[in-house]
Amino acid sequence: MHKTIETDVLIIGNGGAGLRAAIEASKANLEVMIVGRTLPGKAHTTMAEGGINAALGNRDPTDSIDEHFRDTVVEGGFLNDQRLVEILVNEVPERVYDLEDFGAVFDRTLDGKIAQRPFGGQSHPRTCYVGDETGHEMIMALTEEVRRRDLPHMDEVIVTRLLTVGKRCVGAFGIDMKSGDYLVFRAKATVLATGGGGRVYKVTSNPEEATGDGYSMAYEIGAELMDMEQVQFHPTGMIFPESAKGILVTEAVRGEGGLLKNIEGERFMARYNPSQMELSPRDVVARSIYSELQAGRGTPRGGVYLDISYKESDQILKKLPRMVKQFRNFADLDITKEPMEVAPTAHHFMGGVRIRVEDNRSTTVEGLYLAGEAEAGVHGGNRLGGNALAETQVFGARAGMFAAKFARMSTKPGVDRGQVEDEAGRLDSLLREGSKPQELRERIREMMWQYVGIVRDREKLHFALGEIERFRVELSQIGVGGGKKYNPEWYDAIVLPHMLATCEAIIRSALTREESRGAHFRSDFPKRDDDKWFVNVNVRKGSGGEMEVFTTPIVTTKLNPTTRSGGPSGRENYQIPRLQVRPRP
Amino acid sequence: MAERTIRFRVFRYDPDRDDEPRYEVYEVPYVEKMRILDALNYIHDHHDGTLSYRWVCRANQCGSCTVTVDGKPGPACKTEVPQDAEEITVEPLRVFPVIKDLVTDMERGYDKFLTLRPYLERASKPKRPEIILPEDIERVKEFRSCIECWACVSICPVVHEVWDDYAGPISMRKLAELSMDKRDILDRVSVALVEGMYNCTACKNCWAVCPQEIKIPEKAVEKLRARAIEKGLAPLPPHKVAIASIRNYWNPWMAPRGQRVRWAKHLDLPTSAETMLFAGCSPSLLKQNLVENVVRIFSAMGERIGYLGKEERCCSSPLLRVGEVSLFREMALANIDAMRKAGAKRIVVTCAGCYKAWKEDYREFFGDYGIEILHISEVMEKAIAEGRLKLKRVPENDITVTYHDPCHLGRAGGVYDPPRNVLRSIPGIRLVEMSRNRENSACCGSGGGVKTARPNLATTIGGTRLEMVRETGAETIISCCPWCEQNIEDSIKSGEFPDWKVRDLVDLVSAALD
Repeated sequence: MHKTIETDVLIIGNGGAGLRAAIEASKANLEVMIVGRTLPGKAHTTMAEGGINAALGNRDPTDSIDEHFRDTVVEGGFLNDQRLVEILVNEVPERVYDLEDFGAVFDRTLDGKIAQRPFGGQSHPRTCYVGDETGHEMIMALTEEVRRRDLPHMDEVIVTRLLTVGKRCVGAFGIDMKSGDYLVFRAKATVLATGGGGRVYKVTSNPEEATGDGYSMAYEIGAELMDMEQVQFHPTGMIFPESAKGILVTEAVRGEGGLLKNIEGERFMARYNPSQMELSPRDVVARSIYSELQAGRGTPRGGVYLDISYKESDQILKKLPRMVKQFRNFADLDITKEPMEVAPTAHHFMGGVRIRVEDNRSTTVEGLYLAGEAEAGVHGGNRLGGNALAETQVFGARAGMFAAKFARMSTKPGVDRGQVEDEAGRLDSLLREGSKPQELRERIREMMWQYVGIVRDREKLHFALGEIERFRVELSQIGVGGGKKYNPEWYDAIVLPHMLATCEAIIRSALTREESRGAHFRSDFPKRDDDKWFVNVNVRKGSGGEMEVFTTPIVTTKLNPTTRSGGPSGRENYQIPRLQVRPRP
Repeated sequence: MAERTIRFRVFRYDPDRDDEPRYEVYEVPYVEKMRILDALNYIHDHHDGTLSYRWVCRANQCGSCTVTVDGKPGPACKTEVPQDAEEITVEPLRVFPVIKDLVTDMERGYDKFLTLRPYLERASKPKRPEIILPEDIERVKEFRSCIECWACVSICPVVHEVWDDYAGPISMRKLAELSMDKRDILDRVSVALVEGMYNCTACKNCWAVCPQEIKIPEKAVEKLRARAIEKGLAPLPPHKVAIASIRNYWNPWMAPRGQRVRWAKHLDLPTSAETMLFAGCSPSLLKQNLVENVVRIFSAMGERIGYLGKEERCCSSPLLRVGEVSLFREMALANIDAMRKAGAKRIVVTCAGCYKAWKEDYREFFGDYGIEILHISEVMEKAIAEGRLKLKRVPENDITVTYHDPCHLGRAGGVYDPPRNVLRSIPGIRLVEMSRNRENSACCGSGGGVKTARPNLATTIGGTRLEMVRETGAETIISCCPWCEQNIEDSIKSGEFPDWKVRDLVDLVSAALD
């Protein structure tokens, strides 16, 4: 038995992208339904700290949207879909102002404009911020707008699969966690704003629910996943105490002047990227830290130092209040007096569901729109700090708008009862005697961290792929106790297949890309190879149910690498043509 | 080395299946600096995966995982497991109905919250880019850091009794924020008034559990009250009487100024000294014995203490609590000035209300005025430790007592140990603790102007506190605050309670002087 909920536009995910999509879709006078895995305002966006990039030029008038475009593409290893990047940089200023309309309170310059700070890999200070709680402020403002509009939402619903009729997505199947009831959402259009999958890694900044469900559910119904090998390891995660391992230490620490040092007290970034130092792009900093640790120059706990304590303590308190509290609470450490210890942590998936530029729809599935980290193409091989929040707003609004447009023109589809019964049967069948999902979950995360982490090679990846196959066999042995009402063990079992599909997509894509580009580093192919690999790597579900890999050409509009070879980060080998500065729209 | 384990008593209950809640005990290995959430995750992974609990971010940023740990609510990911703990009890958030185990139904909270229109309402869309000066957002920023964890609502003594009449700390925080946001056009102050802002007892329990450390009583409730007074909507009539009394008589008790010094007439205290007594209105006018006993104790210690006499005015904590800020400033500055002129290097107070005013509020308003503030219990504790104050057994002293922490001495001032240490040094006194004590102590109900304007609410809250007394088996309740003591006495009379005695610590010590 299940309950059916009908709506015009179904929004799966109540983070920054989902809420923004819902707001935009509701403007079309359509029914929307926001379905969230958590209580309102608790999604991962609230953990975003450093800021949102928009070339407002408030701090540096020489900044421009073209400069923002250039930084995004260059630091993305030219893997980005440049049409999406253009949309991002063009539209984000207005989306930032939208947030202010909703009630957000950004930090200000003395003359009352939005303040901006420098961030890694960016040529100008353009990251708009609210201390180090930017994501929290955004999710608050979005939640307030959702409340102001009184948009329908169902909280604590775990969506387990998308429903299709033919090649069209017609809604989703989920569980009301509070009652254990099965829910069938029937919708003309569906926006998938499910975030990323950092939890497939043992050490991650991501929250409980970031297990890659969105990628897996979209893949299952025929969507293409692109750039899945591009997993961003944020260079600075906490390493101590154990219970705080992986928790993000915002890039804003470095933006505000934080220095990275090894155990010898050396600012080691000078070895790797002397021109940008601590404010190098994330992939470069993460690999540099990794190299320091490999070379035995890490701290006894296995990290490097990040030191802001030389700055005035009231400035630190004002600009980084959350970091001050976080280290005081978790590590008994006063960052205004002592250096932090940090190491890389799995943070963001640049890859995701491949979308059509014109309407943010899945390239292959009708009625399925993507927003935020669930989508691919904006960030290329390396996401700039501050561009993820930007993506949630720009592409959240677009997904909502185009989903509404599609919903307006289409009739309400039926659902395939067979799919509903299959899914209910699958979920029911997990409630049985069997081996516990928790243990398998932890083995997956450990394996991914060991073999599919910052530095990869063919051997490791092959082994990882074999492991995935072995884990799949074990899946059939899984069983959980208890009932359907708020049963976390059941959810562990439910998301295991999603985790495995996400992992397989990462591994197969990583095996395919025999070069190093962006966050993807192959020690057996340490150089960038534009002759062979100036392409996007994609996966899709093959006719026999197997995962198929295929490549597609990278779309460029304004920027091309002028030389065709490069080192691992490779930036110095590219001549970047100066762009024409266009007036802002 | 054998690993140390801690016993976690975890609340288990499925209303659909179980007649009654029960507690399951799980052994969890201790890891350095572990959090309650680590223990719950350990239980989930190794003991029972069906235990229901919420968590998302594990970084104290989302407010999902709030539970009650040994009686105190807070995010499980923030609450540290004490190194020496042997057993820890984990329960769901109070006041919300249980869905299963540690997961509560938050609907009532959200429903109430949403009726307040907890979002910015503008007159029209602003021009882009909008110019907002930094000083205009400074005041709202602290409020906006709230992560909606609901710990404040769960601990609030007023919500506990009359949720329908009080929207709770989380809501007062939001209304205060919006009332200070220049962009907002709605009358938030009137809403706060209707939603029971004068029911807040300023007990600071909400602040003590707030993971974002937002000072809701002072920065939200009292600011809203001040705005209501500016708008002519407040204070409540009984408060007006007290305010008028303070304005004219310098005390809230309608007593002519001369009466304030009667207790000291025969004592011949100097009007200037390095150590000055701030006697306070209630001790001076209602409990003269108390303040006389303070002087006796000082003589016993062989120390000189001065007294302002007629120059002393109400500390004006009652004014600030109800929102009468301008008169508070005037009175407070006069007190500071008088103390400076008297050459005070330190001021000793006996009333917890005075203590908070001098120690916290005056400094908040006027900065550091360079005089040390001591509670009499701190002075006595030191003297006892140094052998300058000797206490003897008196016949009535074979008693079991419990100590009620006044909110404005404990949470406001951090004075928890001195009164307890003093009690322990009186021969024949056995001190037992209530289930909620120290920083998690429950409010007696009398603060924040509630005793004056809502006496029945005050004794209702007092009754809940008395149930905690009952659990201890103590026969005498000791405190350090005339307001608490009065309200506890009134609560005993208005409820079905034994004939407990309520005594001030000073009186008890005075009786035991050698």
